[in-house]
Amino acid sequence: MSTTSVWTRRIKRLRRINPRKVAIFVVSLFLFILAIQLLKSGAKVLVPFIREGLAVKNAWNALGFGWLFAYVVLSGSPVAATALTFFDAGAIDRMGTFAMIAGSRFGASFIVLGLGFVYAMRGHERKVSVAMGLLSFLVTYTIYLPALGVGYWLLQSGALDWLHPTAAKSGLGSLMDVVFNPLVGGANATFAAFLPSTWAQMGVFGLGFSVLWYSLNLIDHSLPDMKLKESAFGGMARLLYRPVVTFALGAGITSLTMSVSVSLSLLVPLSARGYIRRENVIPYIMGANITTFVDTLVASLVISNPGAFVVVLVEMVSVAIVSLVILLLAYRPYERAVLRVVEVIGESRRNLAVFLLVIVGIPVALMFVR
Amino acid sequence: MRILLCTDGTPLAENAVRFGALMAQAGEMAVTLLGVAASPGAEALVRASLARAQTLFPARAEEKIRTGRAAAEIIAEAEGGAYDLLVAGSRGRRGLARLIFGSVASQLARYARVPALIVKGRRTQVRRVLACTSGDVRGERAARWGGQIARWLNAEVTVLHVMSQMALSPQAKLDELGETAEQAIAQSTREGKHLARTLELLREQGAAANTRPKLRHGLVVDEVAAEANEGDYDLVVIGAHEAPEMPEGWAWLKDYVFDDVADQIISAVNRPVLVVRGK
Repeated sequence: MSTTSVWTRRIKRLRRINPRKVAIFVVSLFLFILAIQLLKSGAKVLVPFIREGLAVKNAWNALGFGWLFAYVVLSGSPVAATALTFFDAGAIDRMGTFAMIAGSRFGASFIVLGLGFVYAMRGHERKVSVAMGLLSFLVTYTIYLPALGVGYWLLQSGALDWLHPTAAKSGLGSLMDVVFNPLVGGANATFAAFLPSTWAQMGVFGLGFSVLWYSLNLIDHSLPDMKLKESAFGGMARLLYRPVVTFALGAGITSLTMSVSVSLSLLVPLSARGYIRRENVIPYIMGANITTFVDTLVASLVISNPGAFVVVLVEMVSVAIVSLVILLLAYRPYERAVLRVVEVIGESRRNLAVFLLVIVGIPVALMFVR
Repeated sequence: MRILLCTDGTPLAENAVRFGALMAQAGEMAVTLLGVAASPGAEALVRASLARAQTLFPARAEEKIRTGRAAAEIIAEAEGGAYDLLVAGSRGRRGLARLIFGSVASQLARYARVPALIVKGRRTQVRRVLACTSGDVRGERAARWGGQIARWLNAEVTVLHVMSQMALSPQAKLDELGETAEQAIAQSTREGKHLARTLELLREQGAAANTRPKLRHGLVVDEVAAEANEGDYDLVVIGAHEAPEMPEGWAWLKDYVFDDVADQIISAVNRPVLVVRGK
C-alpha cells in the first residue's frame, strides 16, 4: 500500500471525528475534575454532620447512606465520587467508602426499574414493563452482596494496597493545582463573602455536587454516535452469544459510557424492535457493573488519595471475581434463579409492593445498625 | 431416501436402531446398518448387534463395520454414503461427565452434514412431534422434517417458537412479549408471520390436519425442554447450530462467540431429538 493512500485513509478517519463532541468531552472532563476538587474542599465541614447528624458510623450505615443517596439523585456515579471525598476528608474509613460505593450501585439500578414503572402506569402490562428493571436490580444485588464479603477481605488483608498510584504531585498533580486551585479558591471566597464559614463550605460542596452531576451528563452527550447496527453483531436480538462474550461486551461498552443504563440503551439500535434476549442481557449487565466504576477510578486519581484509588480498585476486583465465578461455574442455575425471581416479583401488585418496601426499607434499616 | 442406523453393540444403541427402524419403514427408506467397534476386539459384539438389528427388517439391510472412535466413524460414513438421515443413541451424559468424557451425540449434531436423529429413552411409536423453529431458515428446515415424519407416521405436529426477549426501550411493543401463538398470527407480528409460514409449509408436506402453533416466552433451552415434557412428545425436531458468517480471517471465532443452543437442547431434553442441517 502506498504512503499516499495510508495518509489519505488517516485524514479520512480524522475527518470523521466530530469536533463538537471532542469539545464537549474536554469541557465535561474539565468540569468533572473541578467538581471533585470542589467536593474535596467542602467535604471536611460535613464530617461531623455525616458522623453525628446522619449517624454514619460504620460500613453498614455507609452502605445504607450510599444506597439512599443514589435513590435521591437517581444516579450512582456522583454518589460514588462523593464517597471518595468523604473518605479523603476523614468522614468515613476505607470499608465505609467501599460500602458507600456499593450502596450507590444498589441505588443506581433503581433508575431502570423506575422507567419500567412509568410504562406500567401508562397502561402496559406490569410484568413486562418492569422486567428489565427488576432484572438489572437483581443482577446488581446478587453480585454485589457477595462482592461485599470479597472486598472486605481484600481491604482487611491489604492484598491490593501495593497497587496504589505513586505520588501524583509532580507533573499532572502540579498542573491540576495550577489550573484548579484558583477556581476552588474563588468559589470558597465567593461563598464566604455571603455565608458563615460552615455554610460557605457546605455551599462549595453543594456546588461541587451540582457540577459533578452536570459533568457526568455532559460526558454522556460527548459519546461518539455509535452506529451499532444489527449487522455489526450478527443480529444480536436473534442470536445467542456465549455468556462470557456478552459479559466482555458489557464491560467493554460500559468502560466508555461509564453508566450501566446508558450501556443498556446502546443495545437498542442492535434490535430495531427494542428487545433483547434474556440470555444476552444478564451477562451484559454483569460486565457493565464492573467497568461502570471507571469514572470513580478517575475521581480517585483526581483526589490524589492513594487509599481512595485502592478502594475503587477493590470494588472493581471484588465484583469481577464474583461475576467470573458465577459466569464460569454456575451461570445457568444463576440465570434461571434470577429470572424466576423477576417473574415472581412482577406477577402481582402485592409482590411488587413488597419488593419496593424491601428495597427502601433495607437501606433505611442499615442506617440504624450499630 | 437412505437412512444410516448406527450401533456399537450396547443396549442404548440397539434401542436407537429400533427407533430408527420405525422411521425407515414408515418413510420407505433404504437402510444401511453401521456397526462401530471401539477396537478390533469389540467387533464380535458389534456383529451380534447387527444380526439382531437385521430381524427388524423384512428384507436384509446393507451392513457395514468400522473400527475407531464412534463419532468420527459415523461422520465419515455419513459423508461418504449420500445418506438423508443418520440415527444414533445417546448415553445422556450431562455436566462434568459430559465435559470430561465428551458426547458422541453432541459431535454428530455439530459436525454431521446430514440430519442426525439422537435417540434417548425408549419410544416404540411416534404420535406427537415437536418442531422447534428459531424464526429463520433453519427453523423452516426443522419444520419440514417434522412435517414429513408426522405424515409418515400420522402424528400430530406442534410448531414451537420461543421468544426469550425482554423489553429494552420505549420502542418495544410490550404487548407482543406476552402473546400466544394465535394472537401473534392474528396480529401479524414477526413471530406470528413466521409461525403462519411454517404452518403453511406443513400443509404443503401434507401434515395440516394435526398441526398447531405454540409460542412460549422464556429461556430458549428451558422452554423447549418444558414443552417437550409437558406435551409428552415422542420426537423433538430442531435446527442445527449454524453460526453466522464472520469477517474474513475471523471464522475461527465462531465456536467461541455463539452459543450452541442445539447442543444444549439435546442435553436438556430426555427424548429423541432430530437435528436438521443442510438444504
